[in-house]
Amino acid sequence: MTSTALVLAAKEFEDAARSRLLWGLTLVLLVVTVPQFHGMTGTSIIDGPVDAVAFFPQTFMNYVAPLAIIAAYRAVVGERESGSLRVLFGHPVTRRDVVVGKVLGRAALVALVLFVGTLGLGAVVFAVYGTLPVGLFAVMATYVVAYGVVWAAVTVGVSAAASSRLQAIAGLLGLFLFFGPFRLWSTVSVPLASLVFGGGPADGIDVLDPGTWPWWYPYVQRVNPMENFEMAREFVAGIAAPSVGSLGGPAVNAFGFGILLTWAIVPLSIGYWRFELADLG
Amino acid sequence: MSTAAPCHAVAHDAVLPSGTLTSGFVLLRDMTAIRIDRLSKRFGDVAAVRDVSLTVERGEVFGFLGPNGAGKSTTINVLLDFVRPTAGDISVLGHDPRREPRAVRERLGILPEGYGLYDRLSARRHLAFAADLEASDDDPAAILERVGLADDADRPVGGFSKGMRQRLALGMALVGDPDLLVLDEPSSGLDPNGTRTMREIVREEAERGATVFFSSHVLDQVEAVCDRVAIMNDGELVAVDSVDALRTATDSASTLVVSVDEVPTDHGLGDLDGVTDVTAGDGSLRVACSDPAIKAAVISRVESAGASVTDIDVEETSLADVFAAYTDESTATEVDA
Repeated sequence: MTSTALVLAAKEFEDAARSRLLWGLTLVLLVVTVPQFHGMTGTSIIDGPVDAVAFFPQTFMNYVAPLAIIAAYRAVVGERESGSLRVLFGHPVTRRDVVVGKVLGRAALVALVLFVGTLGLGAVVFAVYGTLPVGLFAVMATYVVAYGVVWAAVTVGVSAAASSRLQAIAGLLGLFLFFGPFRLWSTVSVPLASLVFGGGPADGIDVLDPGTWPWWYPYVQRVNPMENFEMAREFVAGIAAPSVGSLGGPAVNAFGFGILLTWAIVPLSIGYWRFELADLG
Repeated sequence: MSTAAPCHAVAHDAVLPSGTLTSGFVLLRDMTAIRIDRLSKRFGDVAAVRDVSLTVERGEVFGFLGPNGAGKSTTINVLLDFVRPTAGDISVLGHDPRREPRAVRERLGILPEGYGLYDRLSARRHLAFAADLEASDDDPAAILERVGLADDADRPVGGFSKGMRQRLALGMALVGDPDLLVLDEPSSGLDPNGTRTMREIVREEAERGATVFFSSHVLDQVEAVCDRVAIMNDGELVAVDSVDALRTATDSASTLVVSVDEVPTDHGLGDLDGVTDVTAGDGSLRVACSDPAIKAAVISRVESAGASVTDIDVEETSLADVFAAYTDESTATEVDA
């Protein structure tokens, strides 16, 4: 990391703070999560304040990726299209500085919005139960923010690889649809993994009944960053609240964190590599 | 008219033997601001730049002349490491921009073409940002004053006119006292006042010892500030010459258009020194000459032939005329097309 990247990140953050983007995203996140979460506290799904705080990732799971995509898809390609990269390159700024500065700036932006979002849910917990398990809250907020940083890195990577904003948004939308709420990932990956690891078709697997899962099934699920984020939430909550039982053993969860780290690093590296080789004229 | 010193009047050989300046002669390298050796750049099937070789010495104000689409900006983009050459070697201030972009950009200031600014940030913030990047203690206020934006320092640049943005971009290029200032079409969007400011700044920077590389499609601007000029057309270098030689070449192509009440048949203009061609038209005479200063002689000759002159105009020398002066007629025709 260079000081140049920090100067870029600081400018980036200031520019975003002056736009309505930061405040708009925060407001939208609160509007979509707080009432929904508040509704869940009245059901049998959430039992008490500890359960409620451990539930945060479930509430955020479908919003973090779109949030990061909106906040960062223009990060590199936007400056490429607007021509402000030309001005930057008149100063001692390398392409790597640009990518690193963008990741830092946009990750900070996404982190701030998500942190305010978790504060909103924390307020709901306090309002409903009259108490907030602070240690668990800190752990879950960190987890949500870290997951946001993963998507910020993915988004900046795609933004660096793309040659137009349209290309960037199309690629990111594709990722979200593939891994997101439409379960396309399971539809494709489970039969494929069954052929490779099970030697035959994937019959008799019930998503809701772990008793029917072959050994490879939890691992395949965790390759999907969005499911991974949700499935590891109880394991993470267990750090501060041992009473919360975890889904999957330490091996599956360690694999899951490795996958999240891979998502943070690989798309960004590919994006940087493509950006480094690109003609920017 | 120009006040540019004719100190580099000796026509340089544009082509250097490959590798001459790359073998570690620090002193030799240091005298060269830009060395372009057999540069070619293709975008798919389109050859934007073809086999261009060019050397710009330290301290020169060097003009880069050519119509839009001639390959000037592509060449500048290669100097910036914005695009990568298909073939050829580049050295900017002794560094390869591809391998050592930071070393080049530390000492270079650029006013690029087709650049963008950060609409929500003020002019002052832009300059502070540039100073942070350069690790320079230049005072944004002083630079704003210099480019004529002192009164608009704190407004977000989203509301700036094209000319104000151009002044700000020039200001950002000046931060950190660059050794090489690259100006790509610097006058675009500037009013006459802005053009004057820009010329003054180019002269001040040259006096400070900076090299200025100045691209334009307007002949007069290049003539007004440059010592030497390279002319590019259709991806190729047409000529590299001193600005004095360029002026001589282009003046020979200038045309006086004399409007008369009645076109005299026997005017004898062809006998005047410096007149190369006369064509009579409907109510006017077109007099091609090597020296527009013979205007008075032309008028008195026409009046003595019995016609009265109602108007006289010097037709601006076009780039096409310049190409015609440096190449054969067929090339000049292509330029027009």
